[in-house]
Amino acid sequence: MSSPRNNTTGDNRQSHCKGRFVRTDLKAFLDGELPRLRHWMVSFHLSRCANCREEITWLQRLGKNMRTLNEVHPRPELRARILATLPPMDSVPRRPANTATPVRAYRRPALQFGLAGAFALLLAIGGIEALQRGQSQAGLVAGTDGSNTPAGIVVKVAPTRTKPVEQKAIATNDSHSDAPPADLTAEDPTSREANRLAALQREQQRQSDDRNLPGLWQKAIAAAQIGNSGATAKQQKQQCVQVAVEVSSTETAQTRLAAWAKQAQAEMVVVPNQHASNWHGTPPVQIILRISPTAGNSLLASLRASGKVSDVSSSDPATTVVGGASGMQLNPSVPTYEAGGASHKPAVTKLGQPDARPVIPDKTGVSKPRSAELVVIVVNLLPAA
Amino acid sequence: MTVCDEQTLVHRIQAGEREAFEELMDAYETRVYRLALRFTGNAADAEDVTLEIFHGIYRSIGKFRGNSTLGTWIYRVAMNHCLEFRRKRRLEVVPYDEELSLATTNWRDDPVQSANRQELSEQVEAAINSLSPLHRDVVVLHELQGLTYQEVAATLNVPVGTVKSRLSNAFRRMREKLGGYVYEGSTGI
Repeated sequence: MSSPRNNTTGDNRQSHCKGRFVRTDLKAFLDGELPRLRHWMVSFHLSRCANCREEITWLQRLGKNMRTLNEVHPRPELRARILATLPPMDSVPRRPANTATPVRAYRRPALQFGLAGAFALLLAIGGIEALQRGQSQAGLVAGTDGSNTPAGIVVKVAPTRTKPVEQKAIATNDSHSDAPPADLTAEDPTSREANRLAALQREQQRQSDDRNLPGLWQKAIAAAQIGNSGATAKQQKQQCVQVAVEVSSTETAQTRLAAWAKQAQAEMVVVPNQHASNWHGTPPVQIILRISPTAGNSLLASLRASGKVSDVSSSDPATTVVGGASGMQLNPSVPTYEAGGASHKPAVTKLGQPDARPVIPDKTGVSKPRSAELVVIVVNLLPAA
Repeated sequence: MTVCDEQTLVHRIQAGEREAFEELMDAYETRVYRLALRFTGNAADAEDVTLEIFHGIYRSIGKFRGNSTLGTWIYRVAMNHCLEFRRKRRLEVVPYDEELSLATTNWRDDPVQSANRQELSEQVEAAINSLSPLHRDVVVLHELQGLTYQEVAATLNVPVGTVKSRLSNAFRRMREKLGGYVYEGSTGI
């Protein structure tokens, strides 16, 4: 018969460790429900604290014991009883899955950031779709050919993709004739069915993408999300390219970028990574460069011109990554920025070329550099795993 | 079952396909029954609640909009029925039911091992039942039903952080209750 063991009492647990914050995380640690950074912190603590190790062992045993309690099965008669007495189904008009009002739990303010992240994730996954279609380009190494751009950075840039809005427009054109509908409020059953099928296909594709996501792609997506939350509205409206770069040493890459930025007379800001909790090990660094299009193109070209290391990237897909989010799309062959998004009208501008839009002098009459004359390049330095 | 499969299944049920509802029952009947048994404490009431839950699911599946996974939605419906049952019966503590632990005992096991397991099950059951309803719900959904924190949060309509803290507190209290009862024998449990 089992009996209480002396070395696992509650008193022991109460007094053993000052890291209460770690103790409260032990259960979530065991369940794999902690963010990566937190997970790493707890595992680090566990490597040093025997009492917490004992506690987690106890939690593990209790969890296993509890799961064995759950071996009850219903009688077969229950199923027949349920099926024999099914009530009539409520006649509620069906709606496409994606147009439903969110349940209350998902409208909480704290989760709105999560929704923003999910939106960025969708955009980034779009990049993966295009990559799978073979529209992506190779990873590159910059600066070894004597150019004044930083060296030692392996980059793979985001492929372009058709934006969801455009896809929707295409679908609408396919399912409707050019003639205006008689009643704008009436819902066409054919298009409703088509929308539902399209939603199903999108979901299937998304799941397929999720399964195929390499680990570093996920990291890149996490890094790309920073573009949504970290950049100011002003930066968002400027020409902006976001790339995620895997480096062996973030410090070295940061130093080289800083030296290059100084030489190129670029403004450089190092932003603490807001998604560091998604990472194992050394957190990534995000660098925002505000530079002239010429210098920006030079940097991008140097990244683009490093076909020398494409073998390295192709042999190990996880070593080359890219970020692109919030409407920022970087065409590997022609560096462009689509200032897309819901907030302003989409426009495509090539870096290094003057903005075709008319110049509007400000109130002081001074023509300040416009968005086409200063570009923002967000470089996410991802430490190699 | 993938989300796409779930959506297809839902559409088939909404179209009136009875076999589709039977497939749904195949996937969820046992889990829903176990949840109901946990709340009711006896098999007869658990069967009644399970029947009500599936009737509720069938009636209202036309309203399922795909905002959450089908599983989460089903658990939410099931929890509503279980909480309603609890409210009606005013069961603050689910009484220990012999049927629950009997089901965990396999007569083919070694008698000593089986007896150990039986005793341990009783102790763990008692510890779970001693928890407050809020803590017990989280433990039941996560530990016994296998839902993730996110799914538990969606089912109970609380933040994920609340699920995490309730679960941590629940295990802390169970530890105080069980002490060293959870042993590390060779039973594989």
